[in-house]
Amino acid sequence: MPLLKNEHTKARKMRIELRDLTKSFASVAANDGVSFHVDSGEILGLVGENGAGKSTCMNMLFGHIVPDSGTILVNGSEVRFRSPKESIKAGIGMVHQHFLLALPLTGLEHLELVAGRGAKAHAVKAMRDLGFEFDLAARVEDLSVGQQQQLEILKVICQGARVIILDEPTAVLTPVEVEPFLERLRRLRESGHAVILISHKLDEVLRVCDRIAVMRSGRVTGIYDAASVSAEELASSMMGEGTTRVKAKTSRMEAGTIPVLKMTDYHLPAGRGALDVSLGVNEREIVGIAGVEGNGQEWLFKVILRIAPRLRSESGSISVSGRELTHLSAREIRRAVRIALLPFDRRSEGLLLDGDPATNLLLSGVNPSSYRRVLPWSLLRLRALEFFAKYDILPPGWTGPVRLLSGGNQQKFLVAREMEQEPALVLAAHPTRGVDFRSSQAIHETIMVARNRGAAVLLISSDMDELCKLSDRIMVMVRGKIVQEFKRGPDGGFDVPAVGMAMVSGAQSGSFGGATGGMPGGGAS
Amino acid sequence: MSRGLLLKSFIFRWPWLTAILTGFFFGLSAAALAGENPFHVMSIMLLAAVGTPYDLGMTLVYTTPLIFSGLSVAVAYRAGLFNIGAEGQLVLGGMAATALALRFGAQFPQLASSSSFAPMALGMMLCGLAAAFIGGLAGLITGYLRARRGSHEVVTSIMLNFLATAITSWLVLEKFHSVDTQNPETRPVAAAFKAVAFGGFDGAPVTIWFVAGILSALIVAIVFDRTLLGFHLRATGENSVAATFSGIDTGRQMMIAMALAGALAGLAGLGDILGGAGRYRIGFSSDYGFTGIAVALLAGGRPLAVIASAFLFGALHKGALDLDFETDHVTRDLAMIIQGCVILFASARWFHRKKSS
Repeated sequence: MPLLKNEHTKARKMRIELRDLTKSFASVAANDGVSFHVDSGEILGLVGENGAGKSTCMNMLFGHIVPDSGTILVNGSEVRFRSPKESIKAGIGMVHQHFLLALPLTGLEHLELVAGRGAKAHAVKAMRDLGFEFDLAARVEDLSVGQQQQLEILKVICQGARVIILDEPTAVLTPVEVEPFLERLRRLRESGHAVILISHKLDEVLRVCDRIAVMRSGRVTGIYDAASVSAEELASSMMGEGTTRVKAKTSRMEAGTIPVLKMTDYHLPAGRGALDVSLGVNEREIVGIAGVEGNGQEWLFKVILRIAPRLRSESGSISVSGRELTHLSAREIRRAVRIALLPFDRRSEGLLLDGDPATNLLLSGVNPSSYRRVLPWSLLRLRALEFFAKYDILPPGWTGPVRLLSGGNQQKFLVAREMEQEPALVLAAHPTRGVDFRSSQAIHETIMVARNRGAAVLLISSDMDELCKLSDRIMVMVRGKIVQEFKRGPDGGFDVPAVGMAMVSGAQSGSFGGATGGMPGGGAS
Repeated sequence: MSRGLLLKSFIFRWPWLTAILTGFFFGLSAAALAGENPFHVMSIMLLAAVGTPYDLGMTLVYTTPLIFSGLSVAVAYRAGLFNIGAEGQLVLGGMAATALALRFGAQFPQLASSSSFAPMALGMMLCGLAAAFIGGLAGLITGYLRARRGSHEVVTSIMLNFLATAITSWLVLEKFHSVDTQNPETRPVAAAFKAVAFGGFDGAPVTIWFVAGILSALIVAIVFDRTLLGFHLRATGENSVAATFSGIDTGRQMMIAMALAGALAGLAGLGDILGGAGRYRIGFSSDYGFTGIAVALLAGGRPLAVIASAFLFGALHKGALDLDFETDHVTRDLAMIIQGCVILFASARWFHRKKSS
């Protein structure tokens, strides 16, 4: 019974120590002599750019990967984890960035799956202690992303975890959810757990952590006391000596007036994908869509690309550059319009993970017509190499499966593939999610360059800073409807609190597809 | 490097060789348990498979249909589909070719009885086209039902197997039955359609259809590796969601894949029908279609590897025939045991795929 064991171990202190962990993939050292430790009752931040080796390091600690050399010590005695099962048994739990939940099951069923019948009492107590708020009897599909995350944490606690690894936990949260989340982390610490927090967001790490370990190119470049280190020091430790923050080079050219994407009274009835939208995006313009996740944003892309199911019941029109799309098939559209797509989930929607970069270049909606005869593999490989160099994708010259690239580098590769073909329309969802600071800047640059070149950009993001930085206009989407539109104010910025209010305005009232609160819809230009 | 790691990297690098070795090990262990010396058994099988030119020829004869059916399953597999209907597509294709040959022979007796080059080339081409077309049509039915109606291809293609058998039996017995035999077979095809055996195999009917099998494998390999169509099929198989997002009509790719698979399976019977027997016999296929699944699985869906894989299974089939006479305790069924073990180990997941995030 893991629960009982957990009760007994509760008071016991626990220390996990990594000593000189080294791991190489295809002769590239992903981790090179990594050492640090974490004690129960503290939060250790683990920061670093994409491909710095954070995930590899945690995967070794969690038994996913066996280190080439080096040791892991639990309370001073050496352990070897050959599978996550063994590390869970040792009291280590990991919450992945991509949740591992079954949508039709309830929270309680999940807990009983991992911890047996007695899970409920333990879970209820843990929820009270930690300030978790959601209904254990509700199905996972009805929980918000933040609540699903709480369930994931609860799962590892019920498995008896004393050390909890969180991989980019705030990346999926909306701005209003972040502060309560950090508070829950503090409570987790008070209850005697050790927390390892992997993050890109230095301010969050500085606010909540006790100590911060910084990684760069597979090494630990420093372990700092959070109370006495500044964000600047961390950043230079992350990026190396003499690196200054990249400044936005591209200025914002005047937005165009010729509409590129135009959705008029577009309506897709009921079900999960209910949409009721009128919007327009002009050339040389970025329209940001703000909204709590799951309010129909992904359906926006799917109907434009003509790949949503049940399209037969739609009404209204979608046109790109004056061309009506609703009569065309998905294939015809990609031939007619150059659309660059940065999908919501790059792994499942944008890449063939087992393919090499050259193969993945082919998986772009826009391919030169010369590919239709014989595939120019040598040219494709060359282009892939070029992209890796130009977009600073690590490791350089990679020709193995893209599965082994880190998440941020996969994203950079996608950006290169999609944005390098001079798109007329850019559909970008969370373009910098899970991407480090410097690469985010580069991706933003790329999007701005495409915009200035004349592309219409529809940008969906849950990162308010990103929306405010890039967008010419911001539209707020709630339950499949545009409830309000914001323009840049006289100072050049957006009214962020008002956007936040609009995002949650309709959220509590009515059912999906029903009456919505907030402002009347229709934000066409 | 520790011994365990060495073994692991061997298995990782050569999964198919591992499957063959372990499969033979367990199969021959079964022979040993039955009271035979496994080395003796192995040498009998080896000699019977490739011992003389005739034996080698017969092995190639058995290899021919397996190349086609293996390719058929492999094509579907690469597009993410499981073609269990190769058996049905094969008998339909074979029947179509036979029917065409018989009709044509009745219509143009002089031309059909000529055995000079031009009529024979024409005959071969016509038969091939008819077999591929009808087999492809049968595959397309399954593909259409999967792509546009959501019926699982395994279920529909199994059911089509029964239909195909029933239809061909009826055609053989009611429409093309031979008047001078009691056997369930059609009249013999005219000379122009009969494939000539190559010399050098002491009379074993290795024909142009074996060469056609090799060529088909080459063509399929080129299509998959070098053309956009092949890439679209592969993308559909590897990640249909991503394929859809990039504008590929995955339903269409499934239909193309199944039609291609059906066409390849349709050709599988021609070596036996036009090369060996010269007529369609009910039950001529000793489960070539189903063995094709094993062939494709061992080849990992790679078209060129299918040739080697088909040869292995062909040799196993031929080699085991002599076990009936040469040993006391085992029969040709040992081939099935070895085959089963090889497939078991070929489909085994030796390693857990580690999630890297």
